[in-house]
Amino acid sequence: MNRKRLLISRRAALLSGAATAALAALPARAQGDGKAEFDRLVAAAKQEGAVAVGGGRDASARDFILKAWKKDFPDIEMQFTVAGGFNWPNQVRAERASGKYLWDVYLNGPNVLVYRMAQEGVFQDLLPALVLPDLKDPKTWRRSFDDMFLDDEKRMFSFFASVSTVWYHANKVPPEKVKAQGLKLLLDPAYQGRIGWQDPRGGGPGANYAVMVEEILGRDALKTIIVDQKSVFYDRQSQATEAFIRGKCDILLGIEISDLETYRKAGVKFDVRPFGHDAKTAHLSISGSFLALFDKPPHPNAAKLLANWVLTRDVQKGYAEAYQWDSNRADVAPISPPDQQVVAGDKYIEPQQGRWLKRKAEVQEFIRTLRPS
Amino acid sequence: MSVRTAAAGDGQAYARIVRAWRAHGGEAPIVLLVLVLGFLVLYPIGSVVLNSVIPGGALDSVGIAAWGTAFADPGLAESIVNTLKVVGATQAIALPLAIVIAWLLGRTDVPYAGLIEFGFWVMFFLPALGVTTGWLLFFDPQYGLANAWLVDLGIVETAPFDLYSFWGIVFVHLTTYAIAVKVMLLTPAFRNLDGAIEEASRICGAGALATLVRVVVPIMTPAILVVFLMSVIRGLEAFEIELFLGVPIDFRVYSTKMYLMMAQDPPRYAEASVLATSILVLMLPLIVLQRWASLRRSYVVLTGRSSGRKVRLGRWRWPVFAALVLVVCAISLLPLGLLVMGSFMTLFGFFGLPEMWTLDHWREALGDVTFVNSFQNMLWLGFGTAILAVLCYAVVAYCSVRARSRWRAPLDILSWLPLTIPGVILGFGYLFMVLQVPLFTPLYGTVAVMVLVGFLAAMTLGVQVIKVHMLQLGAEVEEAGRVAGGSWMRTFRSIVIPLTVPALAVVGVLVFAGTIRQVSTIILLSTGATRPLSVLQIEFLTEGNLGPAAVVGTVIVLISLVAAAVVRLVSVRFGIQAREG
Repeated sequence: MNRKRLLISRRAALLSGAATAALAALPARAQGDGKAEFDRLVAAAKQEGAVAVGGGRDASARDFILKAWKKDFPDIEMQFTVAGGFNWPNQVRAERASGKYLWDVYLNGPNVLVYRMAQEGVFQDLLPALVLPDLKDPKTWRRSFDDMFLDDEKRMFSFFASVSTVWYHANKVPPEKVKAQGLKLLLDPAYQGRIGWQDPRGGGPGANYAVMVEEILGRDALKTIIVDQKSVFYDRQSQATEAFIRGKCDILLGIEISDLETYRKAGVKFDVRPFGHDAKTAHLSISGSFLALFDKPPHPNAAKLLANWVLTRDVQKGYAEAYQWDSNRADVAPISPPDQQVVAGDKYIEPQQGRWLKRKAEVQEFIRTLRPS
Repeated sequence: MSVRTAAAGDGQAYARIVRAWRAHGGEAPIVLLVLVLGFLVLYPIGSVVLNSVIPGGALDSVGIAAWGTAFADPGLAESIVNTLKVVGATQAIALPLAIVIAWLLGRTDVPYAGLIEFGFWVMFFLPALGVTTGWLLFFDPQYGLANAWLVDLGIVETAPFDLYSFWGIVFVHLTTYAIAVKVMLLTPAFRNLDGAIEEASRICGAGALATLVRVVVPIMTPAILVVFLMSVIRGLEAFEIELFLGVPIDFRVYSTKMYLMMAQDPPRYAEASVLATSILVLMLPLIVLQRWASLRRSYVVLTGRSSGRKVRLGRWRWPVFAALVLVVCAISLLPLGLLVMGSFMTLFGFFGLPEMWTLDHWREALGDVTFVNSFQNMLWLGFGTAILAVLCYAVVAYCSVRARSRWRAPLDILSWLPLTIPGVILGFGYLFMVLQVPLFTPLYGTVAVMVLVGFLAAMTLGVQVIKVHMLQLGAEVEEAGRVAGGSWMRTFRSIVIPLTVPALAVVGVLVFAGTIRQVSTIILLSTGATRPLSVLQIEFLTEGNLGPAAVVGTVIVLISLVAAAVVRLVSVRFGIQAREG
């Protein structure tokens, strides 16, 4: 919807076209049976004619995925629905309780309710659905399969990972202060009412920051930031980002990096910076890169096709550029600038991982006692 | 018992059935109509009430305990109070304004009254979300042009206006339906007022204002009361404006509270049902009062023999004209202009960028699969509802007007009831229905269920418009058809329908325009495959994608404006009015 997205979409179209071309050009030996299996999948998916996707809110990423898919598979309609927050999982659970199975693929961040859906057996095993051989090869990936799968059953796969941290306006908050105090700066009364936050009580990424703050600063600090500092909650991360860019708040927990790029390229003047990128100031986030296939999908072949396609190198490259998040594929260079990349050797918390689920739910409940929703 | 006796007994039973059929069989169609309509209208209400007290169903955590937990939530009572505050403030401003405007247009010699009246028709047809998006560019506390100008001129130090506030919400209600619908309905009533009454007041020495306050308004009280109550009920339905402007500031009315309850973990369906039931109970007195006011029909002075003598405004004629034009322009053209402007901004609300204007939003939208699919869904929904509405409303109206049956009254009441069910509750009830009743489960995720809900939501207005037109036809025409040997169906098809075509056309367009901008009734029932443009717009708005939202809003506005023009042209040409009662 803007110049940047247009450029991305053109590039994306080229990249996605290249994905198919590259696949076709791969030596038969390297692909093994994968190519033939993939072609069979494409043919079967065409028969189905559509794929129903519950996807993320990020406009650039959605724009990319819709255009790239349309370019590669014009005969298979992608029915894309924003599947954010708790509303959509609630809807899906109610549908399935009534015997309605309307969804093929989930392609968004995991929240508490999505995990609950997984525990209820809503998703199917992913690995058997991957027909392209390189996707099952550990060498293809920067992270281990154990780290990329969010659950023990290996149904919830994440293909991005970047550090996520708190951001600040350098002209309102002195950088040296940030460097000296780190996250403790969030407790400074000077910023009372000036801290923005994507609502941590809901299903968005705001809850991950709540876990991070509690883990690094403790529960009392979390309470102080919410109650005494009068943090301003925004319903959506993009709203929080816009408010931040417009100067409604000086510090922001949970920024939409791709939106930041959109504002920058449109010529909006601002100087915003991350608090840091080490494990003391940031957490590791897969953002909206969680891929899962629904059990009993209405378009089973199209669902499998999408799972394979989205993990190919060129689609990952285009998707990562649009989303401004680092792909886990080893052959796709990181998008993040060096001062925002993962610090080697640091042990980050990963609030989106299944093992953090219980903790996240507790933290959210605690916040609801402080500020009922 | 012998075979002969048995045969005789059977014969008597058959004769009894035949006699009964002859006596009451003619009522079968109307009974069927009442049963079907009764189910469609009453089921969602019953379903909502039952789900607040009976455990089970496809949606979990439903049960009578919900009443306790729901009312233990302070936010629930607060949401009801907030709802009443918004409705109260809106009506307190809108009603006196609308009465004065309707009187000026209907009873005075203000120039171009018809044109100004059309301006209010346009206002009525404008989708609330499109108008809200437009007003954001003017009254957003951060980037609103009005705020920026006032600060730049040094009149104030900080932005005085904030659309994300209680008064911001009230303001948007005023500029969409609240004033417009009253002016639309009251102006014809004022126009039909017998001028002799005003003249008598004048002769007694009263001025124009005193005549308006002491004579005209009291005489018009029944009509004003009906319109007022209708507006209050409509106000209680408000959803999308509060969802967009209220949620970011933690201001919840009952409809947004219900919606958010269903978006929680775990979803609070039972508490949402409790809230919906409470609202329905609160509305009961309004329904009774409105019905009483409608049936009272103290319209003895609203004769067809309007004297045509209008109050002369004298030297105030042109200033009043200018003021009215200003009102129309300020609350319809201005937000429209801003909306269109927003659709061409590189970044919505970011002024002073190196490249501030772009066609990209339009280019992207028109080539976007989601937009195109939503547009198609909107057309399916709009046309589907309009066709179903025209066909069924005509039958309902005909039976209400002509049938000599004891079932006529229940049918009439059923055609009124949907007006009193807030859209979000109607949608909520149907969500229960399509998820809990196996017979209706196939409807979930289809446009058909949204068509059904849209059909019900528009029924009261549609049936009333057709009824008024049918009443004007006169029974003699049909009797002639019957005398010539035609059955009632044949008479209805060959005589009544052709003569009612203009009214049916108006209703069809009204329903189409009303349905394509609907959000509250269908938001819970639409899915990715069936989402119409109006739901896509609220998604864009709540996600903060204001540029694409402005594009979608502009498209809906343009279609609505065309619909408004068609309705106005047909109405004026054939003298059709949306009267109360």
